[in-house]
Amino acid sequence: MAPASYELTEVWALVERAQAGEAEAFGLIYDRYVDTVFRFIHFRVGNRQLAEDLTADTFLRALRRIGTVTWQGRDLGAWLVTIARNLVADHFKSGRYRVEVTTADVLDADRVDREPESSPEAAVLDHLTNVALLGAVRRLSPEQQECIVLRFLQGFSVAETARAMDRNEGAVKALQYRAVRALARLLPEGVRP
Amino acid sequence: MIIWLFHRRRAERLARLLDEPAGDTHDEELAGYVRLTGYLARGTSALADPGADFRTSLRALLMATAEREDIRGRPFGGGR
Repeated sequence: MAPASYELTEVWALVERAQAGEAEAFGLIYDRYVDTVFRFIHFRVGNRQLAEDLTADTFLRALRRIGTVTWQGRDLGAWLVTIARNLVADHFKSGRYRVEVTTADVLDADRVDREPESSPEAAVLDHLTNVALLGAVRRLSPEQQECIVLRFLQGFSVAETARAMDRNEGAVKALQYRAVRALARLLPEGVRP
Repeated sequence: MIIWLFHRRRAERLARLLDEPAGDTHDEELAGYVRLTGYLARGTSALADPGADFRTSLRALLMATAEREDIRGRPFGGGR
């Protein structure tokens, strides 16, 4: 979810400490955002090894640029995702990527067996719904996919998504509407809301 | 032009509904979209997480890099 203001203040205090040369402060920033960055990249590239490489590149680039980042009253996660997004775009432009990404590639294959609170049947049903949903997301345009992943899978606000995608908020609202509408049409009967 | 305005208003309306915790509407289509985004949010748990080994080794690499290369506030060159 989008962070509360006290969380933003806490993160930017870590940024200031990192900018003062405290390595561990950057480590705490990494701890907070590594899942967000990895999940975004993994969904886009659909390959764990490549997602790990690009996640490492994202944080190395962020480390080397932490001195230049300035407080804008917003979540640092949007800045990190912007770096990740640019690295993913560079990767796709390089022509070394796999064209086919299956839904199974972007799901955690073992996760269905790791939900202790739910019954096995409910876990399987949830997993099947997730497969259908994420499969449909994968059929959206790259920009619509990014918007859906950032807004609803990562919990970014419209403002944060706009910042990460280098767009204005009005454009993100329009993109969000087109993406959700397209997604609803792509879903199979039974999963459609 | 009329269609463009229509979709722009619907996009704004959907954005407002998503921002309201109890966002309620009699518009069945938009209500369906709001439900769909709720399903998506629950699907987050199905996304892959970075493995523990990767997480630990990347952190160690970053810490070593930070110690080696002074990370204090100065430009390191290059754009995004």
